[in-house]
Amino acid sequence: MTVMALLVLLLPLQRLTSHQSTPSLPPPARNSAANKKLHLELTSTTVPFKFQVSYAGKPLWSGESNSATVATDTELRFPPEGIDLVLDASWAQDKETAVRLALTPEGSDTIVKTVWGTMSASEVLTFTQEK
Amino acid sequence: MTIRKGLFIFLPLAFLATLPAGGADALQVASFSTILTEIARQVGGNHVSVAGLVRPGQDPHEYQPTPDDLKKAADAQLILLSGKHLEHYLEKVQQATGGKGESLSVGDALPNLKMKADPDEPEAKAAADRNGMIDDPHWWNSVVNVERATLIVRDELIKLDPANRADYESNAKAYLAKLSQLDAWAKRKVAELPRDMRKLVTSHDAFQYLAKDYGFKVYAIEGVSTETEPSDRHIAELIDEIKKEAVKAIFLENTLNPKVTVEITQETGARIGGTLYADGLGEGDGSTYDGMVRHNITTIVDSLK
Repeated sequence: MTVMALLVLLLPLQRLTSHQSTPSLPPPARNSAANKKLHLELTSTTVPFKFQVSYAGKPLWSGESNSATVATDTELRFPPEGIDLVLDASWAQDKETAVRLALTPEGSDTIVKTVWGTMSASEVLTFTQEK
Repeated sequence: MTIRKGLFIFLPLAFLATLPAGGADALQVASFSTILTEIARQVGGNHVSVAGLVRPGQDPHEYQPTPDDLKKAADAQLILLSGKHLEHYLEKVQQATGGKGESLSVGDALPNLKMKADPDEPEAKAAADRNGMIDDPHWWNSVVNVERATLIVRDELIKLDPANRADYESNAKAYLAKLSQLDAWAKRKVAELPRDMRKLVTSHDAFQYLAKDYGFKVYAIEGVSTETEPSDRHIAELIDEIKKEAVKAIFLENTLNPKVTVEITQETGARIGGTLYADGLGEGDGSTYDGMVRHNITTIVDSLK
């Protein structure tokens, strides 16, 4: 019984001492920004169009649309520094076209960015929330 | 076509090909910046002969002109200077040239960022404003600034040699198109890194212009110059900041001793992310401006991901 009690005491004691011996770094600052629900809406003045929206080097939303407006919902970390979304769009018609990406973080105002292109458009769009 | 006719065409062309770019009639240009040397060669083409006096890989903060360099500057019709107080030897150049050639401080015409002057450096102290701030001379780390510099060099070449205006305009247009593609590539590559992870710790404070263009926050181990050692207090504050911000990697520079940077990685747990070209062109990847920017951006982004 005494041996059992000592073992129970030793385990947390060992954890405490071994924890102290490893250098501790604070948790990464980037984790401090929580995930946020985002509504994305893409509008093109020419249809049909193909599109891809990427975040941090990875495709987030892509497709082909016959209607002028498409929308989706997603979740991303939204730090105070904002987020960069890469928008690629292409059209079969050879005419100047505007494509608008509207981003609405849950509980916040919509942020709108517009790019222009002929046959295709590709741009990095920065979205930051008003403080 | 007979062999004889072919030789009449081929031999003069073969002779021309052996001549260096910019013949005897070429506009003589001396450049004290590796970036401006590239711009002048790209825009000037065969109409200019450019002597690059600060060589690739050479630290422009520590560079001192040799008598041969000063002679080349004195013989030049156009002297290209980086400006923003980088050329601490400017007086020597002015004495050597006697104001004969046109002198153009390209950086002085570009938008300015301020940085803290190094109190241990007399030239920096003299150039500082009442708040101890000086102009940040590292304008070339912004592609947009290099585009602006290209236009400045183009206009100066046209002014000195108006007969070749069309060539200067067309060469500048081609070079600007490459710079525009480079900037678009850089923006896309940087977008791979979430904005709150864009923390750039480098050996000396040379990347403010890059940081402004691409949304980085800069922490420098040394100040504007590469000549002075950082204080213990500054290093301690920096270590705290790196730990607080959980910075994954810190970067070395091709012209600097890595000792202090390596010590900081040991204290913080951050790793060495690679070596950056901070002060202009270098050897290898960084021997062209396009290569230099691609190397720097790729090294930074891939190490901080």
